[in-house]
Amino acid sequence: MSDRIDIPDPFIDQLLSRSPIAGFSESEVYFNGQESVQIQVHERKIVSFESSSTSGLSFRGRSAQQMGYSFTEVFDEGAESFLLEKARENSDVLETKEPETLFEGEKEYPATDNFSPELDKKDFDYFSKTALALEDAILKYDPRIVAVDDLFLSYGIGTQAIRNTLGLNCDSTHNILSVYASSRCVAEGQTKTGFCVWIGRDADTIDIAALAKESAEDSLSKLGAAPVRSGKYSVVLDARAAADLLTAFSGIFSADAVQKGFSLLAGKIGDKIASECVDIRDDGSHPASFLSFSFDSEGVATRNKQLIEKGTLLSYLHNRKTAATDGVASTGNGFRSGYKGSIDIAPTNLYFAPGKSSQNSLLKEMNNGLFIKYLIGLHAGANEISGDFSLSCEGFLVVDGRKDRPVDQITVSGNFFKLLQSVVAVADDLYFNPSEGAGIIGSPSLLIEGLTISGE
Amino acid sequence: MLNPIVIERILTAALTYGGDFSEVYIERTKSSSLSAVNGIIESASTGIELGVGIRVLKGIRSVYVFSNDLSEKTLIRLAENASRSLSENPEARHVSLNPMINYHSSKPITLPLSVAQKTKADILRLASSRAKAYHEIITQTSSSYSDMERNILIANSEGDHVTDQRVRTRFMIDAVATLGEEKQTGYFAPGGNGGFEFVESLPIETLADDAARIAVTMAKAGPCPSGRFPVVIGNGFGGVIFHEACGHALEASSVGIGASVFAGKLGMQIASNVVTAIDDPTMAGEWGSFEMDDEAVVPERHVLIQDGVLKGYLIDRIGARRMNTVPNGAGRRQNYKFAPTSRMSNTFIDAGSDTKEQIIADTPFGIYAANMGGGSVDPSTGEFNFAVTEAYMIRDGKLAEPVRGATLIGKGHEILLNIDRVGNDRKFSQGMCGSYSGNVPTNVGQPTIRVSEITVGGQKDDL
Repeated sequence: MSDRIDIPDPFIDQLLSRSPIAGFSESEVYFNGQESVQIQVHERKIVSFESSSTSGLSFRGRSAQQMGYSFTEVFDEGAESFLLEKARENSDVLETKEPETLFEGEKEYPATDNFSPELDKKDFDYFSKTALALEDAILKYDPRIVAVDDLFLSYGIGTQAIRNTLGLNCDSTHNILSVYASSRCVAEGQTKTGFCVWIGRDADTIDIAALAKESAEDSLSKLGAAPVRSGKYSVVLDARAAADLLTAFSGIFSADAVQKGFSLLAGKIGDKIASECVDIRDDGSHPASFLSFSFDSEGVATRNKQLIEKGTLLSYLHNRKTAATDGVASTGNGFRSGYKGSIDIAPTNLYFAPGKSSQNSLLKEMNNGLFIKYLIGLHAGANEISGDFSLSCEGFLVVDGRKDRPVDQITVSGNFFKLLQSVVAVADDLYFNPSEGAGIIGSPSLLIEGLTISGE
Repeated sequence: MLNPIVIERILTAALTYGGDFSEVYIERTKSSSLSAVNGIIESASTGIELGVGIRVLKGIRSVYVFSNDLSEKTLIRLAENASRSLSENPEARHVSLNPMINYHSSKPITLPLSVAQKTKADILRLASSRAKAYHEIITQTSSSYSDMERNILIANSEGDHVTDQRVRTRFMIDAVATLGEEKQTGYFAPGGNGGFEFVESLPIETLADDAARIAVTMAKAGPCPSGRFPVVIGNGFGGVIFHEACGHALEASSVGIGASVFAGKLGMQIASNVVTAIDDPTMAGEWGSFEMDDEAVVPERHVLIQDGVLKGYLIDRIGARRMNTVPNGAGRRQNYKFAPTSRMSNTFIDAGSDTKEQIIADTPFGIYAANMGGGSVDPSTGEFNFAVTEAYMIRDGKLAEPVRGATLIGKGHEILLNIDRVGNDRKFSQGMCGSYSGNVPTNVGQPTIRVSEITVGGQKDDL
């Protein structure tokens, strides 16, 4: 349903060819273009339809050793002189001791499969019918379901291209479909909300009935929730909540954070920092994830890496700059958050490696404790530098290995570094959280001992 | 940015096949940013954004298209496509615009993009070295600066034809204190609705000292106890409690579809009678202020709660259609990539008569939450959470030892009834609020208040 995204090659070629005159010894352009459609359904109507086509590019150039940045959403003569002039002014204020350098590219890149031509052929009618059918199925699921407040279906295509004066020339395009549907139920004066989410490329595998059940059961299962008594609890953290927690602390693996003293993992390579059952990896592609990465935003090929193996820290995530500082090779994790961002470090697909037991057997192993399904407020209640977290959460009390009653209005608190040492068992249900770019984080359910719960 | 005849053609095209309201939003933004780690300038960037959003409404249904391509041909095509998806009973009509009105939501003295990056870098170096020098256990600092100059044009089928200038500058300092294996941080990020003069007027040294002081204090603090206690919440960023616990649930985006705990409660007592709460986009020069909103509506001061009684909601154009009323100037968006919806501006609990000292003295046991991090809320259930970044125990009516790692949770409609003391020291703090229409600058604010009982989540199991 979309034209291909045009990469403005004539503008890019001219910009790069004129950059030496502006005083840059080497320079690079990172282009990002996106097209999207989004449908919102409410009370059996398409209440909102959005469609967009946007693009922008970043210029970075090296002058007197330092790399200055500028960006634009306009591709004309005025923009060209703006980019060159501003990048030059910015390079002049930088003082980095190990400045960024550009890369000429790899001989080969791993193949990726991020684009589905079949998905791209789906039209407005198909999306509308899917979205309306899902709302209908949720509303009909149970009389206690009173509303679906948020139901969005989004389809997007993204293209990125990197070109530099050393000959680097990398392109990639992906498309993705995502569906989100909340549900609100009311019973005995209590209101609860829940949701379901689907993300992928094979639209034919969307199971409306299963998604409706997921959203409806998520809210219905919370009815009757009440706090538990404050104290220390063993906890089974559901896969999605565990992935959320790992997301909040994923920055500790960044070599940049380590080198600048912002990560408590500094100086711990080779140390045992987690329990024996903890393996954490970062893979350019993983069959359970929905996006794979062939190269990072510096044009370095991605690789598969073991960050923690059997509890021992083996590696950090590097871009070219941090790798040069440590005298190692880049791990292919030099990503930008878009054309407005500079080269930073981000995971590709970062995940707790799954074990062999089911989530149910983790509950049985725990016997009595809490099953935490959601951690809420991670953007505020988790401190990446100290590792401390104190978070609102929801779930179930577990008695004799079974979910007993729903629990809400409690907090769970602890320290992520201590938590890594308190993981007792890892389930087989690896789940990757939806994310819009680099930094897709996954986890299976985890059994953790001794977390502090604040409730009644 | 586009001439009126072209805009009239676009607005008319947007009603060709259906729709009862069409709108064009054009934006041109220049921005710059710098960041320093441990006093070394590590990154600097400058950029231009340019785009247009076209919206068509038909009743409560909306279509929004946006693009960077400002050619007339593309915009007419986008407008027609938008209209097509609302094609029931077309009532095509010609749009003609009123004379243009130019608003100035910001009144900058020195446009920030006209200031050399070098001058901004000097401020970051000063902040870093000052924070580092505060105490020997300050091991790292990071500081950053950002600014933007935005010019927007909004025109719609009602004839509104307006422009506005929004200019903002912001400075951030973060200090890290290390004690053994323990790292704690302190943070300030004041923002201004105006030019570079705002950052020039900031007491950079004091802000750096305060960030470092919080980091050092928290590094030496023990874990916060958990349980239900009275909590005295400090002025300024403490207002995030009202923002999360109540403000979001008063936005038409949730009230209009009946999803808010406060829907249908106008005129009813929803808070204790010491609580008066206001959202005021008209305050001159404030971080969350504007002379017209992002739907070309001139805003009003919104009294939300008067002496505990619910008086009003925050209403955008679509919300007004759902609620059968008129928009009151709460339609906001991050930029052209977002359709506007109802949002907060400068939102605060109004000052009462107690002093902070009296409130603490009258609290035999509890927690004083001096500074807050962010939080979040589910407007349907009212369940909220937010993080405390600087906290102290209150024992026998006196501030006692610092405690770290506290989070406060509860239900907004219950907490509002539990506010039993309101101080006289109202203050604002600047934040970026994220919701359906992206991140928008909002002030949170309050005087010192006391909540008689709230769930505190800490790492310590007993008192």
